[in-house]
Amino acid sequence: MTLRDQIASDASLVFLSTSDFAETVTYYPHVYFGGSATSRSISAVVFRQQVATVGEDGGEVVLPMYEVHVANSATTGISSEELDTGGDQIEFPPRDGKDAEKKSILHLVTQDNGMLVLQCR
Amino acid sequence: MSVASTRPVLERICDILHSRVATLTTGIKPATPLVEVVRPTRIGDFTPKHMQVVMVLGESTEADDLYRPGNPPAIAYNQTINLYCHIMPSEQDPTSLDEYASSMHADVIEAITDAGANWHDFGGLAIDTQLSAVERISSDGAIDGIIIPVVVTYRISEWSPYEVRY
Repeated sequence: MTLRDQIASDASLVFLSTSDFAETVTYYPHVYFGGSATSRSISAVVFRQQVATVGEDGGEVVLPMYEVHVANSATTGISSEELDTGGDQIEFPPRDGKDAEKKSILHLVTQDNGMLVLQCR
Repeated sequence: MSVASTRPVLERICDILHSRVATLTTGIKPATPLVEVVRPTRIGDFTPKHMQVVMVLGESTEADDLYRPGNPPAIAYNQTINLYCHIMPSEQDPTSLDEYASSMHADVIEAITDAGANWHDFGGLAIDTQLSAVERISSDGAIDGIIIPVVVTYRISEWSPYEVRY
């Protein structure tokens, strides 16, 4: 196994283990016209930032930001190829203990062969 | 002459503006199939979506040339209500953002003004309304779209923002 393979494997087995830091969330890909909605459960590490604002024109509003780390995989995570920041959503609790809510994926912060870091709001 | 209510005049204007824009969620404008019109709570409580309008109060200035003497006097304000129109189509969508922006701008304006010749007075609650030049939302936060500033001029009793003054 090459170092590249080892890193990709560790992304799923170590970083995204739900026995450690990760949690199970639900990924909802963008539904294209005529398509049907599908979803799948994946492991993710979610960093919750409750105080984040948008709007600079006297109409600033609080809109919590979430950084979500997932495997770059079409089965255990989200593949960079399938990702669509124009409609994909991830469902997770916005605060520990609360009910899960769907949040839009707005931005691909960084990516490599093993993992994607996504900004959700 | 005055008209009082249990809700402040500005909130009643916002209610009407909200309901006018929300008519676009019924699909009456095919180019602008609005999904929702949101007034954010303290913690946001919404997630950005394509074809979503977020309504937020902006700057308020005094319109002192419209003051009326009396006891209490009547004072007037120019209140900007910003309509953040979110445009976040699929990455596979070949339509340009500008085309979406132009259509959404046009349809939101038509929804606001589709209330007869006196659309600008919001049922007698306002003196005038101006639709200011559209602005582009900075996409730093990965939310694209436009801002439509709606400037509503209204007059109230100095002692009671619940009371419309003519």
